Amino acid sequence: MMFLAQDEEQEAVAEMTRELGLEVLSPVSRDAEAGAAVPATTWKAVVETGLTAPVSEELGGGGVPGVVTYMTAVENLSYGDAAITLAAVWSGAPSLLLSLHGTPEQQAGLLEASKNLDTRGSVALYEGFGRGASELETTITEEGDTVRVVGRKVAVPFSGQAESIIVIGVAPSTRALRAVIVPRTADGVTVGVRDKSLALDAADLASVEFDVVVPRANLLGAEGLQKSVERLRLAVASAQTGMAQRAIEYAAEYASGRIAFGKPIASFQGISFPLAEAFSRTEQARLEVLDAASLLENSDDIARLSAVVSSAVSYASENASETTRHAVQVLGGHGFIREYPVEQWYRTAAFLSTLDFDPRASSFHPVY
Amino acid sequence: MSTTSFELSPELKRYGQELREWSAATLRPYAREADTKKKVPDNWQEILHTSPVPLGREDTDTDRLTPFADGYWATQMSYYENLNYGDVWALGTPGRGIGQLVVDAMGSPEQIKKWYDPVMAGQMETGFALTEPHFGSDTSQVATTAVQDGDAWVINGSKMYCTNGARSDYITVFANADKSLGAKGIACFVVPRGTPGFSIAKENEDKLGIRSWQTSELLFENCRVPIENRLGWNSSGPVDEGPKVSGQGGALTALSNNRPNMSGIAVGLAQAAIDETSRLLKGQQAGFTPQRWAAVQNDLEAMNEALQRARRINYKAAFVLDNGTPNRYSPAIAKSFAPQTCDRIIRRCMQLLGPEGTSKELLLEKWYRDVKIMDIFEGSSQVQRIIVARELVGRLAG
Repeated sequence: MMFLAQDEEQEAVAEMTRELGLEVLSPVSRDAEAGAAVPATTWKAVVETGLTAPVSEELGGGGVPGVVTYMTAVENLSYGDAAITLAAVWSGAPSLLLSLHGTPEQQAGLLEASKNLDTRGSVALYEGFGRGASELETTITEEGDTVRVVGRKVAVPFSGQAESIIVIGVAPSTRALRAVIVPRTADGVTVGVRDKSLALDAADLASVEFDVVVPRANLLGAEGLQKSVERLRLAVASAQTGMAQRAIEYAAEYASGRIAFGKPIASFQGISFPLAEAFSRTEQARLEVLDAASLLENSDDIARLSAVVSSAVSYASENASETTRHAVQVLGGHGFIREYPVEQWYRTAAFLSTLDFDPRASSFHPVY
Repeated sequence: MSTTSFELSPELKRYGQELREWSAATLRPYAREADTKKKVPDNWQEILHTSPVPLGREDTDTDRLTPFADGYWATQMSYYENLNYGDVWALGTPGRGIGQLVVDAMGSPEQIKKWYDPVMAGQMETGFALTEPHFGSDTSQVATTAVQDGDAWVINGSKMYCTNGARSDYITVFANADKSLGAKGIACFVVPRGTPGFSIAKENEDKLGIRSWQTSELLFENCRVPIENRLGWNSSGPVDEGPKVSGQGGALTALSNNRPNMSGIAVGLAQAAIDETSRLLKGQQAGFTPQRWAAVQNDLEAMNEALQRARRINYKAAFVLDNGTPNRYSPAIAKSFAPQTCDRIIRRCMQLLGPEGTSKELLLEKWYRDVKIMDIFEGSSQVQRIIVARELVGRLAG
């Protein structure tokens, strides 16, 4: 039966994370970027929600939120600041994966670790080249008591800080998805230049090359693993959507107060129609994320799940890029200077759009 | 044989090619540092001096850029596109600015001799102060005032986004000299550097892109200039011999003629992004599935085609100016097409390269930030659409 309203839990999470995003994340946006690190008090507030680094109830944690609830949290936190939100989500991703797929040995101490505010987690997922989760070329090969990991990952978070990295790859014989814990400083782990980028500096992203052997005990369970990976991919679409929504509302408020040619610029269709289109697209993106999230909870058709996630990520990123662009246009000269937040959203959306980009999912077209 | 041709003369073509190759090889290596330090290299003169073709520099009189047979504006278009193929920083070097264009449009012959000719001869730099914090596109809202007091004008107000504002020899400042006339009271004043009451509130604004271009916030507090510093005036008042252009009109004409050149910059940057991306992708083909590689090739082709379309309208806009048949829609179409399209191209290039495409090891992320302003200053694409619409429905559009 169709049901598109939020349940009580989702409603409560939405309200709490929206407030946290606006009141705690948003004010430190610039600081997090300038310092290439999320301020400690902000980090604490986000981690303590238990939503970004969840631990299952069996392990004594607050439980792993359902996918819809999780996306609701990511979207609303990102309404405040997408970069801080994703830094927390990516740092918490190992906690999510280990809660759902870890062996008892791997899970030991997870609860304590998840509460440690000084450590950062890392999952190496993306490879570029438009590869979806089922097409990864990083291989994870069992060799007796050990496992060999060979491949190259891009945008690996906390590449200079995480104690270990959970690498996502495939078993070469079956191409089934696998995940394995690799110590970041092990021989055969080569972290590339950790330079600053267009945005997201607080997540300490870098490319990492792996040609490393680790104990077999480092392998995570494979059951349901791909669904969790798809969930992590989808989180970026939620972040883009929350940020786009904020940009629209910010630009709309500015347009309502800014006077040109005798009236608020919001009354010009050249301003209001693109805003209306952005609002409409963002609603579409939200629904697409919601659809994908609900399928991740309700369906086991992996091929279909992967396709809907890819589509949602592509659309949400394209929308956020164009929507934040129009927000800059609405603010005009003010949109271009750092005293206003829109230029940061514009950079962040473009950066995020490169993470999980598939050239087949869209094509270039000029303005007209 | 048709007389119609989009082919540039062999001379201008060669000029553009040499300029492009030089800017990529010589200017580009300084791009990252210019962005980080928010200033052009200290040895910029030395660097520019290595250009194999004239740049029309005004800091030396041995670098005249004589227009090619294609025309002055066509030559300018080639200059803007190809100079910026290397990077945008060279345009942010101390230079002539656009204030002299206002003098040319609004000044008396005497004023043109004093403030236009020396600029074109390379002896002066100009600043342009129109935008204020509360307005951009709607230039009728100039709130800076100029009040006549004996043989002087007293200017009060604040300006932002003034190119070269902190270093030029004079600023053309738009101020309202008679508020009872509304926008018709807007006039333009030449305010020399060092005039008491003229101060620099911020030397270089903290911007998304073009960070090495000096744009300043300026403050005018009881700033007194001689009565003849009002464009179109001499020491006894308004002169009859000068062109009858209003203050607002003068500002808009100066901007209008320069607009297609901004599109030229966007095209130069986007072409650089495509070429750089194509080069990098060549070594990465093995990573793509054949279907994705085909999609990548389609994208690159579509982006190059879009740039060709941008060039056609850019050069058309130059052509009508060069041929004495100016219209308002050609520059407006040029200015509304290339900047937005080039944003998309550079973003697409970063996407094709994946997150590493946004790294500061490369320049795509910088060009993505730089190019954005082309759709904002000198008339946003929203304003350009109004100009185009007026071609169809007159003043009903707005």
